Amino acid sequence: MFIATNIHKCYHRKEILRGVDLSAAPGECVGIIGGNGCGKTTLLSILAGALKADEGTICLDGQDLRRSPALCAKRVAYVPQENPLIEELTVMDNLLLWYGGSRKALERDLESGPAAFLGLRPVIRQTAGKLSGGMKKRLSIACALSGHGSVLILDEPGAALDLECKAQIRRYVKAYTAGGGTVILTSHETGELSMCTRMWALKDGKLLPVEKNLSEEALIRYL
Amino acid sequence: MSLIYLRLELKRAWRRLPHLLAGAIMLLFLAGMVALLASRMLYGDQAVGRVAVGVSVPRDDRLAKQVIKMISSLDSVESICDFQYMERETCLEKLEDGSLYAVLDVPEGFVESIMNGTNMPVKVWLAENTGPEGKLFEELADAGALTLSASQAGIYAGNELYQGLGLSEAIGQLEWDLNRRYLDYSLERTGYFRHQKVSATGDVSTAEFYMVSMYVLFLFLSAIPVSGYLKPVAKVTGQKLKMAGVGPGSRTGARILGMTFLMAAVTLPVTAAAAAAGLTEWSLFLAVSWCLSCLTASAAVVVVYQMAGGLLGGIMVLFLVITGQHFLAGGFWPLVFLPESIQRAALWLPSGILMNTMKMAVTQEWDFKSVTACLVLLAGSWMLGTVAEVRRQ
Repeated sequence: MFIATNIHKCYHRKEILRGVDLSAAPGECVGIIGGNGCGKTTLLSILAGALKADEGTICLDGQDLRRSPALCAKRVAYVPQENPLIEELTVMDNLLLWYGGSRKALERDLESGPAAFLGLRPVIRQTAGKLSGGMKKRLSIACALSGHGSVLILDEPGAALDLECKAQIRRYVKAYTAGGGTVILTSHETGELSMCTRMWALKDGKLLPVEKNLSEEALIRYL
Repeated sequence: MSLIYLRLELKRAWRRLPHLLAGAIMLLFLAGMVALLASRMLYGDQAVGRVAVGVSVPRDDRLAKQVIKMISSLDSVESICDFQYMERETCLEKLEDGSLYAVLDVPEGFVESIMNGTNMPVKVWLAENTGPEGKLFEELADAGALTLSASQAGIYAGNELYQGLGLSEAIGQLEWDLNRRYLDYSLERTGYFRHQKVSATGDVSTAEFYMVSMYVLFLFLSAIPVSGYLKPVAKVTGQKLKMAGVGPGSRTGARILGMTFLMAAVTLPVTAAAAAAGLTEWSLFLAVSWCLSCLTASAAVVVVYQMAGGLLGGIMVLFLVITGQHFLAGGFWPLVFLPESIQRAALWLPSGILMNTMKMAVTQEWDFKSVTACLVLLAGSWMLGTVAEVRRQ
């Protein structure tokens, strides 16, 4: 069980997050919506351990992730909105970096792990910078899941991707949650939000519960 | 994880090597041109031309003509002066129209006056605003006058001595002998001077100085063709790497090593060529100065790009800062020609430090002050680069 409690964050004396509480159970997909600049990326960065919160706790199965960055890096897979790839290197090199140099583990995942599911084997020798946007996103997800984390945090996974790529990523998220993984994502797209088992809206630094399967017009009221 | 990152960073650098080699050819050409022009301005034929001097000697004074010919045939005079013998009026006309830098007007009975102690002066006419040539001749003439006055002092001392000993009738012969012998020796005065080479470029020759200077400039500017490699990592990549245990310090360190690898790869053939041409020799001095210069220069360029925060900013800042500080460090124009305050500051500028370090390869002598300065610059650049990376994140 992933539980974040009373998360606070200020930027230049402006309070972005004012006591955010969030929980997600295994097999659950939690969606977060909100207007541009409301702090969604900041919240996800904090949940993933990429950014420090001013206050609050984040626990996974009872263990405080803020006190154990190594555990956080291993069990929480974070896919930021922009691809964190080293574009001059090949797909293989990018994967190797996040697999800690373990070729065996990588080969295994290219056979039957996330890298295989995401269809990276055919492009393994290509330079990351020459991949399409969708393929880069899939590579980012595969890199994030190198540690086989039980929580996958996705920041607008379908942004700027074509319909086919979005569908592939949705298929992967569904398979991931079906396998017992926890997904927390932010999105502005109803297609992606339809996968969510629970939804929240981030407004004025706090999370408000949102009903499922609302129309686009109805969602706008929460922004 | 940091080691894997370092290995991949070196791989990334390796992929940029063709860019660097292509850029290096252009840079070498430019650096060579700069060195050639600067050295020609400093010590080339055009810096100080030959000094044309008109000499007016009384027609029948064969002794004076002989003395002037002896003076003009001296190595120190012959190397820079062209003596032209003509009438006094012609001399002055040519001085006025600028075809002569100076005129020596030798009076009637010049040599005899030296012998008998009346010392009739040779008039020296100098043209106005003749630049270094006129100044040079003035200095030569002053030096000659000093030589003669010293000889006179010797003669007067002899006079006094003979008078004190009651040998007044022998004074005439003494003066004659002293004058003759003194002139014999003093006109052959090249033998008196110690052969000490003095150069604005210090311990190294002009060619070696510009070789070292352009090598250092080349090292710094070689970063421009591989700017893509030096572009700071994206914010998200930095965040993710930090989560994986590769912090800003490790990233900056890996990048410095990657750039060092590139610089070393491109300068190795240049260094080997210099050693083959006999400009330096394979030794520990060369190895240390080569390694240190590549490491320190790469740290300096990495910090420039980290602080600039982007590709174009990095290129512009690198070019302006590097050429500016290279000039202030005496890379284009030796330090002795620059104001004293700049001379003091130059020792602490990256180019100054690296040039002094590279001079070890030429002089084959340790310069521990420069080695220490290099290490301090390296550590300082790494720390500054890390701070810039942290701030950017």
